[in-house]
Amino acid sequence: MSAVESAEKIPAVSKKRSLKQRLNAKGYKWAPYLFVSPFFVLFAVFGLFPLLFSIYLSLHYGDATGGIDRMEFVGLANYIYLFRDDAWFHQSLINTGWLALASGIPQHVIAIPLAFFLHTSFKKTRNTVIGAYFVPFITSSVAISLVFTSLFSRDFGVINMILTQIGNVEIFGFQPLGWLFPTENVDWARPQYIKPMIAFVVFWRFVGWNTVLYLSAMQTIPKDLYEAATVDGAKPWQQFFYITLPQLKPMMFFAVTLTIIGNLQMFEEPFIITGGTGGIEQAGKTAAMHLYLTAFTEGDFGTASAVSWLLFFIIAILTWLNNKILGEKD
Amino acid sequence: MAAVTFSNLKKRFGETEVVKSFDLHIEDGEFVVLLGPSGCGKSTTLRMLAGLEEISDGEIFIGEELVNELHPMERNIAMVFQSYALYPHMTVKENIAFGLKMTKVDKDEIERRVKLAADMLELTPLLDRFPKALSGGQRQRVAMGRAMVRTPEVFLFDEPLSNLDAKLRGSMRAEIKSLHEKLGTTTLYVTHDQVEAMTLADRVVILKDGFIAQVGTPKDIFEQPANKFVATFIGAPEMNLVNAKLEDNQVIIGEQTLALPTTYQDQADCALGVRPSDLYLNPRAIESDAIGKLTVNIDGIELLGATYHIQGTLNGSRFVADIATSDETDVTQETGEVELFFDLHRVHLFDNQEGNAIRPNLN
Amino acid sequence: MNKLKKSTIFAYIVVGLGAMIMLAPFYFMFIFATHSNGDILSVPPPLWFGSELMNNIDYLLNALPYFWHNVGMSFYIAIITTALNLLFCSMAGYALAMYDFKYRNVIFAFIMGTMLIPPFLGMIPTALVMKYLGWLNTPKALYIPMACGAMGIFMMKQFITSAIPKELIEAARMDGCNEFSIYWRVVVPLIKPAFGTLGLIVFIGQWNNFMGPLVVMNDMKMFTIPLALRSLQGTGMTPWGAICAGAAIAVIPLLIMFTLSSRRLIDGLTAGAVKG
Repeated sequence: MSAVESAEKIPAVSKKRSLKQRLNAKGYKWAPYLFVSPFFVLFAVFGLFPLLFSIYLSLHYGDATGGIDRMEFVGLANYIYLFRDDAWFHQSLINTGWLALASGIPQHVIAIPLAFFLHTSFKKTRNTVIGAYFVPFITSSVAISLVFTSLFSRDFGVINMILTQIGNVEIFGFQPLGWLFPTENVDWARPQYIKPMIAFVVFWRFVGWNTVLYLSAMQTIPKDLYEAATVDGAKPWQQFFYITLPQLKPMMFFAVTLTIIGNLQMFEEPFIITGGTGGIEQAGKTAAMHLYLTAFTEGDFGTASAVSWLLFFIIAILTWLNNKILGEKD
Repeated sequence: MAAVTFSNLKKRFGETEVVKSFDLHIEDGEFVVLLGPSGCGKSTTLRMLAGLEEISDGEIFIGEELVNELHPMERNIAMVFQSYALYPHMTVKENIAFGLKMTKVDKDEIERRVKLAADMLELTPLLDRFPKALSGGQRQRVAMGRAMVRTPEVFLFDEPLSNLDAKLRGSMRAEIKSLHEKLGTTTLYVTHDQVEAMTLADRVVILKDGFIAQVGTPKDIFEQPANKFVATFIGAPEMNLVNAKLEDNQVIIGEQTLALPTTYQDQADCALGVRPSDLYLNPRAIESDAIGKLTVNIDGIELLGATYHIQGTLNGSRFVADIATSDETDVTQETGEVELFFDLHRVHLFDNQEGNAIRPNLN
Repeated sequence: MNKLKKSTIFAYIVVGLGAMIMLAPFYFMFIFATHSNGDILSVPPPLWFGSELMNNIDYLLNALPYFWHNVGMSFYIAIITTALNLLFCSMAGYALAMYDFKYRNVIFAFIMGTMLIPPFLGMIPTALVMKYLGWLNTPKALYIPMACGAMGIFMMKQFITSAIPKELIEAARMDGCNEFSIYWRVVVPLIKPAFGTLGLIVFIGQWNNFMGPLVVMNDMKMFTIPLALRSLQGTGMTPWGAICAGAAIAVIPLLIMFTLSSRRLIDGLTAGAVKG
């Protein structure tokens, strides 16, 4: 209570302090900005600037490698060209959509029951099995696409060998599986086959990833839900449909979003499998490949940049649609 | 060692003012406890002194130096945290020595001081262990050792015992007390536990909503609460407060009146405060020239061991009495009315507007 | 009951077959790496190890005279990228987890937002920027732009928030640490597990990076392994044995890392993705 009076007696003494001391004393104020600054410096130079530069490029025509002053402003001509005239671009978009669906849908259709089965019926061996399914995800897509190219070759590929053997199984002179499996070696390089092949490689790479995502979501579903259902007499498959699937919805939304975004950028697998050409009749050329080839083979950086922005908007729109359809309703 | 002075200290978080004009002078070597319910601003005040929280307004002096702009290290203080905040990747020894190492004390001196502190706190056999291999009490002592070796001018404690079980808390409390007696370092101690405050403090500062509700010795605070908040906050079970009228030195509660031994200004709307522990069934147990009597409706009686806990109602307010089991009068009655006696020198009066204590006239 | 058992057994068989399909490409990669092209092209193809590994590697070195240099480049670039990420991401993650500062939430949201930018969008302009900077065919063109990723910052922030109590930081400050030594002496030693996980993820990502080197490396000597392997493709008879030997060299480090730390890697990747 006497604090006020005594406070007045104290003279305000403050030692002379160096700038370093004073900076250090308030370190907690400026240090966080310093700590996050590497990200922003790097992003400004190698993230933001390239994006802005890319917009600039997409409005110009000419060979940018010689310096941007050699380029000529063409307005939206690159975009208009892509919309109206670039048949290969249209083809590449169709290919991308086809590949995205053909590799994407099976990923989820298989990953969900697989994750459920791993979750419910595996104990000791679970991690090993998950590892087997997951390892494609972390391996070099280039290396493994090359290996797949050899496995898929027409005359000596292991895959043709297995498929035709199944297709040629004879029972009393019939070939009961012949309608489903080929009886002769398939030339996977032909336009109608190259897409399934690419789709399979992409599926192979990502199915384990999705399984792991779903598995981690299933592990968060409370056990007592299943116990209650068991008491209520629900069989395992009923539990799957009435408990697991509804509870998985947020993860399905998330995983599907990742697949959409990833598949629409598909580049490495088709690039390697088609030897960087897009394949016969460009049947295996994706939009991202088209972008690369337009820029680095044809040297048309302006059009290529326009491709990248169009592709970006397509991805954005599809992600938004996915959000509308699968996303949580407020 | 040094005195500490807070002058018109304020702390705002955005729009809300958590500490509102805090003034306090702590004498050199004094042990001061900041006590209050959670959210009263006690920890914030301590953290401003420590240099861990920006000061919105006002000044803090340690000794004669204004420390507002100083780095925590430059303030020459040491702090014991609620969670102890021991570095998990360092041994006990490294934990204690870390602050000295950072301030570039030479190796032999570090060695000497660590040994001294370890001996004093009985940590010597534990020096090479890691914190996770220590019990709660041992961790607590390491945290104190870490603060001690710095030979700070001021010790800060932020709820240091709240993570311990009740038994350990008692012995650690004694240890802190004896440490303070040995070292004589100025100490500011924050807690929400009134037992800690009463047993440790030279002076207690009770905070409420960012204001100082009362400053005083534990005895002052218990016996002369400055307002209703302090009166009910200190002491368990809390003080009974009954609406009353003060007229001609008489307290009028409904039909009942008490003649006070001292003179007061008349007050139409006030509250009479009596601590449950000041109540007796037997007037002979009280040694006083002025004994008061109130008749209370009984709602229930519980035997708590050393005391009977009588719950009752008086003039519409809850009225509780703790009667010693040794009181000769037999407590068997479960309902009806009971007469309770008390020393009239030990009652408290508060005005009902501001809640401040009404002091007797001094003439 | 019996029926249920049958279906469960069937499911085990399907899952087992699936796992074999997942692993088969790796198996054939190793098998083919030890066989001559002639063996591989025969019907049926070889199913067990041969003795042509050294010949395949000779062929590989013949076709790619800088192959070992390329392997070294891959290691060098991946290691530097990893080290830079650990440093920068943990610093930023620490700041976002432990400091209250103005615009913190905006800064964090912005960093997270950059994850939405698809990599191909920057492919062309980045190649040009590197050209103007004169960084084409230099390792820094690959490790500098990748030195601090949003995912890493997020992982570090999450880990630091959960693993380090704020009081520990304050205790260090009271003990006389300046802000950098708090980070270096208290935070860094306590986040080693997260360093392990993030390090693996970044290393693997950079090791496998194809699009990046594709647009900034055109000197064969400066190729990383994926680029080098890819250049074996194309004209004439494809040397499958040599390609598989090279692919095996590219994949073996990953398989080793995965075997040693699959749990941590999977958890790290899913946690990073799920909470993001």
